[in-house]
Amino acid sequence: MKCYDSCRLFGAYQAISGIKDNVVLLHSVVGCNFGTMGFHLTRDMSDMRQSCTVVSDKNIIFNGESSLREAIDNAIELYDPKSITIISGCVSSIIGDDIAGVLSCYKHILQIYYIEGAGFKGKLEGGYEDALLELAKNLVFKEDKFNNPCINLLGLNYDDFKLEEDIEEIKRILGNKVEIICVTADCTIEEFSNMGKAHLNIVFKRGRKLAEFLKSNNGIEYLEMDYPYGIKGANDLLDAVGNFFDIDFEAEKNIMMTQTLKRMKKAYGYLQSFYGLPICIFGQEGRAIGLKRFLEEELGMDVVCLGINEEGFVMEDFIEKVYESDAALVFGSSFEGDIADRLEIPLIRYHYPVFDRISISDTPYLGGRGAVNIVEDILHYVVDGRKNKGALYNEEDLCLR
Amino acid sequence: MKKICVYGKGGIGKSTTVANLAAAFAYNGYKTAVVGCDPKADSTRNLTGRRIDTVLDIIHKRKDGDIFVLGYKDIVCIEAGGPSPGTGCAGRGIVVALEEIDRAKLLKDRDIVIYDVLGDVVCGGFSAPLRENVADDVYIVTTSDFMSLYAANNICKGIEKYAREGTVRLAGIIYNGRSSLDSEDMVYEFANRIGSKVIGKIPMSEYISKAEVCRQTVIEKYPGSDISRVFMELAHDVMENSLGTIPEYLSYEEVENLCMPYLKN
Repeated sequence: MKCYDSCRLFGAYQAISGIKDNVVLLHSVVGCNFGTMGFHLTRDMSDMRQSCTVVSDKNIIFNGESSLREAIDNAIELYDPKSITIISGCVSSIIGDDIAGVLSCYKHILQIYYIEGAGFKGKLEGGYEDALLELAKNLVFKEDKFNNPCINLLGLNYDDFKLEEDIEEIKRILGNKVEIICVTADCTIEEFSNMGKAHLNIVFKRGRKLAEFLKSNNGIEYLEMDYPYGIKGANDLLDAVGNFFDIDFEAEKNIMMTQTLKRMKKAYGYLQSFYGLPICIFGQEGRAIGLKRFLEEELGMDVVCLGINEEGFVMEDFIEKVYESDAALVFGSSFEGDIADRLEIPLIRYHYPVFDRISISDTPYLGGRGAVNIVEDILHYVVDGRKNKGALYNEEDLCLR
Repeated sequence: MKKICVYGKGGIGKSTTVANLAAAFAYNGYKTAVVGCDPKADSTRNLTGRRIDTVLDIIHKRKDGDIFVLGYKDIVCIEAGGPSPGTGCAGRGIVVALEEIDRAKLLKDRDIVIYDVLGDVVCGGFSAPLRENVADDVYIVTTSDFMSLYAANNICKGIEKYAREGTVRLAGIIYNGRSSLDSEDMVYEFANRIGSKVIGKIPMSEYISKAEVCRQTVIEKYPGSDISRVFMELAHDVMENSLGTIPEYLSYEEVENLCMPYLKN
């Protein structure tokens, strides 16, 4: 499976799993459970808020409603959750399990929601969008706004590489002038419910349906932005929020610039070698475009292949272009390891799914600090690849061993 | 071993025909088996005198016991079973049940096995008897009602697909004359148009209903009756039948045009 074209269930799972006091219950076969869990556990192995009915032949023939009831009971006993969200897979949709009927028996016990995730009903992006919307319809009501300038962040993903670090960095960038009510990728049910009290939604090119809903239902304006990679990205975020609330972020921008340049100076010689370096980027729109801007405008690299995961995108065509290019670096997910191996160039993992690296240190990729960390990682990967094509320290040439 | 399956529109008399055919085979000394492939699980009722536990009930609900029951004259009676109406996937149930029957090798010593399949080839599961060498010959039971022939033609579409890819063939049409309109010619013309033949006609008989009330076939309950002799002859003809065609199914308009002249008269 290649996740650039994964199914609706994975998208719904991505969207819902960010709610920390909610348990996701997949009403599907074991592979869906394994796949989703496999991608997120490398980010946080302590976070097991997930269950599955593990649909069997018996459930297909006689229906899976009794198994669903059993799984809900088990999830309640095991996790004692504030809420449960059922995401159904292909089998239960094909045989027509009455999931709403099952859930109606539990409405008086806890908050319980249902999202149809059948793979044949659509792709990952549709699942992500619809899941957030469905939850909002059940949870977000018309309420008075908070007095302070408040925003929500939409479009980050629960199983993003460096999610927590990036969220912290955004909070640090915004400082205490703006309060973040809800980051859908990392929130509680209460925070999700409070989204309607914010004044502005920042949409990182995902969660658009939720943003539209909040606009029509709660009168909340939204701004679509690319991920705030680098100083420029962070400044754009500050400018957008500042303009909306009429807040002056010049001091914050200057501090970020000063701190970032101070660190970057230490690698000045290396940074010069980045100028004109041909690279490839693959990812979702908001992330890939944001990263491209940072790498080109701030580091001077040359993006020779850009793969945006959107409707009509053909991964095989992108891969072919990469193979024909003179790319010296690839930015993508763990799945792009094959491309990097074949070209003998480093892969910088920045995009879902990253399942062969962990990130438990405080090393964001967003903003000014993120710029420093990305540069550091690029240099390490390049230096470590002694046997790679065009390596800086070729093992045979320099006899390092 | 002769392996046949019987299709036809729902309520057209398939199970009655299958049970009486099986009884006739067994009466004539053939080692016979009946496999009901309908979630209603009533194909073997008149051979066993009761509703028997189904294969799916036994393997999935972990009931004790064999997945077959010996019925009239030691006919091996099996019901695939399936989910309650409106739930689950009956088609998948048929597939799983046939796999289990094959695994248990219950049919290997039989001279003839008859599969009684639910009304229409509504999904891949109900086509399972047409595949994987389960059955060789297909018989379609029909009355001379338009919708019955329409369903028969639809079944021919399913047969045609699997016949082109495998060994299954349409062996003939069994005409059940119990409908309000007894238009034998219409059924004969239909059979001719699709490249098959009518292998037998079952006339309307009160003995069939009377025997069913007693959970028996007419072969068992009224062995000397005319209707019993009809089933005996039909069993003989089926056993001797070597016709096997790939049906040339008709379009909807062709079925309608074929039937309308008979229905208007």
